Amino acid sequence: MLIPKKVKFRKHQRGKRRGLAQRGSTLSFGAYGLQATECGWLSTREIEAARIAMTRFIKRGGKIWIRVFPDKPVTKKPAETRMGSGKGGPEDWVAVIKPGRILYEMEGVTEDVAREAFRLATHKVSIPTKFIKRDIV
Amino acid sequence: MEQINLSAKKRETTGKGPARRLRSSGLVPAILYGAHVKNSITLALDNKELEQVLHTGAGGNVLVNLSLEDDKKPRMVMFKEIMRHPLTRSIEHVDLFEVLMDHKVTVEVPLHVVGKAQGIALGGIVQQEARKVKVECLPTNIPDSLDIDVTPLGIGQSLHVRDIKLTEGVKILADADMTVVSVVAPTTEVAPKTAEEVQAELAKSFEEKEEEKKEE
Repeated sequence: MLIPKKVKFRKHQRGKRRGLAQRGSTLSFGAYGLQATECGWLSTREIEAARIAMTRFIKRGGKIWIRVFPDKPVTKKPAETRMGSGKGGPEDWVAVIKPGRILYEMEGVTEDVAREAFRLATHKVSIPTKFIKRDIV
Repeated sequence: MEQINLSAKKRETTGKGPARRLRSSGLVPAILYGAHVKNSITLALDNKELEQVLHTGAGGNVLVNLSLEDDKKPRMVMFKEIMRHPLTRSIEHVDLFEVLMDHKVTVEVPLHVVGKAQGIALGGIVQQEARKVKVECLPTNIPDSLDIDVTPLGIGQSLHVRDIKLTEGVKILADADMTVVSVVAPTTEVAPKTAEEVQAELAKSFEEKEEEKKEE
């Protein structure tokens, strides 16, 4: 599971997800990629589940890059607790995703295999995505 | 290298609003500059015509005969930068620069991996480290792509910039020792730590931190 080793602040505010991804919206390592088409939070479990789905499908064939990191803590109040008495404890870690962000990249496999691996991965993430491949221009 | 004709209109308006109106009417805002262009010229190009120019096989490295409305003879230009929308991939803006045919230019040329590496049979993966390489040459000598043959590569071996075969008049500006392509061994999956384990580690570090604060 991806999780920060050390953080400056234990609890974050929720924030907004306006606009498009300004960084990480082009393929940098592999020949194929999975790009988010909408915004959302991607939890560490989702990232890991999608990675496992892809690596199991491509077996020992290709190489996968994870382009997002869950560095935002999400807090939650315990069940059946009255409101107030401060913010809840950290429960999960998420990556803030904006439209256009590349989530994963892949290389060393054919396009058909990459498409199928990413199709399996899309079932594990809560954000609509699309398959992209490297173009010359 | 082939030359392609492209027509352009001069545009007077600049900024976000006018640029968006241009795009919605099927045009693309562009700018033209160069060492011997005194003031940069703002232009509007036809989107369909532009897409055709960029799909000739040479990618963005094409010599364009740009005919402007007011100019008597066409200008020889090249694409400096093409801005695309991250999701739709539609062209948002284009930078053009005027070239002199007897002056060398610096451009990025795509690298194409050719052949099947020997290491693949042993389970290796061909990993292309560099997709493009900077070259210096005359505008007429720009290669469409540079081929690199990976057939002799086994697992753990790699090819560098110095191994790229060049045509006459083309000089690579990148470091000769830079790795271009390598054949790597497949990675075996290591069982990752569970969320509970990592969470416990993190909680422990926070406790230590708080204790340190109290001591202070």
